[in-house]
Amino acid sequence: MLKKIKKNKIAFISFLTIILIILLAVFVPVITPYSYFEQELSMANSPPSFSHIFGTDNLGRDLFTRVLYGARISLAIGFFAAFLNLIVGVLYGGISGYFGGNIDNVMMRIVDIFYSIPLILYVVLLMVVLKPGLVNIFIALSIVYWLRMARIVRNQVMSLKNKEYVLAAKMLKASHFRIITKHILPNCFGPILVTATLAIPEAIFTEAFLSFVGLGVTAPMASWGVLAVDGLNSLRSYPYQLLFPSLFICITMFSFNFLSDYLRDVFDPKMK
Amino acid sequence: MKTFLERVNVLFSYIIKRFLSMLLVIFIVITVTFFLMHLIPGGPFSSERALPESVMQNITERYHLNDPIHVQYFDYLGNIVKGDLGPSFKYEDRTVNQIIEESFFVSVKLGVLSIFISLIISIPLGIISALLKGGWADRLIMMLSTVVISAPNFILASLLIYLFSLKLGLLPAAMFEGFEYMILPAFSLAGFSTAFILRLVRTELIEVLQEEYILTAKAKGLSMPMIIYRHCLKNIMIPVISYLAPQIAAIFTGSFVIETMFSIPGLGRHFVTSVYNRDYTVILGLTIFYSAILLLLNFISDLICAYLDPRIALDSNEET
Repeated sequence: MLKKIKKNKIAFISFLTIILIILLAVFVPVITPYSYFEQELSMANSPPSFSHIFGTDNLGRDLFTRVLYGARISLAIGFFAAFLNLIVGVLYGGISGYFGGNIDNVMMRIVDIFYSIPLILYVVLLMVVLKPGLVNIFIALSIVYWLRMARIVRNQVMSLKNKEYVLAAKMLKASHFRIITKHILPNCFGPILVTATLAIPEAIFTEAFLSFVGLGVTAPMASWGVLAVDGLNSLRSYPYQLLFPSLFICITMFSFNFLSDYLRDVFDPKMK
Repeated sequence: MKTFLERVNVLFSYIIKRFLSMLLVIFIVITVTFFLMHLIPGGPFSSERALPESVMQNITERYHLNDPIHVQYFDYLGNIVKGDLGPSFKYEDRTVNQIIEESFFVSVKLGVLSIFISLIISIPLGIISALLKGGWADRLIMMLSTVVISAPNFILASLLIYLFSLKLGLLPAAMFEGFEYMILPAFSLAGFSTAFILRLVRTELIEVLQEEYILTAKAKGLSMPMIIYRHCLKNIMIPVISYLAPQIAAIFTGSFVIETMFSIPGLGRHFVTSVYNRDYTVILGLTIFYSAILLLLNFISDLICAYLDPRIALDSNEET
């Protein structure tokens, strides 16, 4: 897998970038002497310099440190959402596709119904009900975003379940559980991986949007979305306060998008 | 070969089926959002400032908040059928209907302009990209489109504001007083759709160009622009139209951010304000309104696609 990625330059760079950002996020306390909540009002709004390489915000907090701590939150949201997405979507889609018939009909109608409205509306509604905060963002995202995964897995399972080797396993009296986990799901690996990789930037994106409407994580914690929105308010006088968080958001999104594009080409050459 | 009447019949039953399923979905959306909004602990009026008991009682009376929940639900449903989405809780004598009336057309203007922009840019660029597949121009266009798809719209918007209104001073950065006020927001809204449709056109065209009838057309000596115009455009239009409805949805949700940033008095900004204010009835009403519009557009785009490619209606009838 890794060897294949190395051949494609853009995909390889994206992969390295993601690893780098994860490492930065994990090792922030070692990298920077500041903390994300420490205020130094005399230094407020100072432009990038040697002591504060990204400058400081309006409360004199080091922006570099805040961006890296923000990476922790944004990436956590991304990965966690993708993970829950995976579990719920694969279970739901797998059951629906495997049993087919009326079960499939009912389960997929439900998905269709929710899918015909922009998912972000549900996320906003849920966040209004649940009140802002990190845990609630996890909950809202995981309640809503598995729909696409469920659809994709269901279609895959549908097309795989009539293959000869599944029939063979059935004849050997393998349990449903075994057939699904051992024979069908491993063969859906490609599309599942592609969808999951796409779910990460989407969750980061959604979180940024939630921050924009005031439903994001609560202070003094700050995700990239919150930082960007803070920066937006001082665009006129201190554009760098918006620049750095946005740069991190964009680079992360590019990397995941390029990576998933590449994965799709690998697993499904027809789509190219 | 089916007779004309049979074909009309197929199309007709397809339309009816799509229409009924649209009604069902709207009904479910209303139900789900209604009960979700009523899950919120405390009423819409429990704020930090405690209201006097008598005032509280009057308010509850007025908005029928003491009725059992199913009575409230059926009242609400009945009102929606009559086209009444209820009052706003935060702004005294304003109703959700008034808010929609005032702001909907502002959003429509902006939305139509940005759809127009994205089609005007994306279709020619997509065609160029497909024709020069693998060349530097194609690679550059694809690279740019990935960049635009990856950037959240408020970042694109702030970049545009920074460049065109703060640095160059060419266009206004906020308010809504004339055509020049719509340019920046429309471009910020169009970004994602442009990149998305461009990719769609490119993929489709590459596929179509491999068909044998294109070879025939080439052998006849038709020029490339003519081939594209006569033989490819219709094929490209089907996916573009069927993806136009989700694109409009993207523009809707994009407008939440963009309208707020540019302080445009549209529906999107009202939605964000109502979320800020926790104005539950307005959130509820606007969500239902958005959903209804989207489902309607989906329905229309399905019909256009079925008209352009009659096989779509046929397939869906045979499925069930």
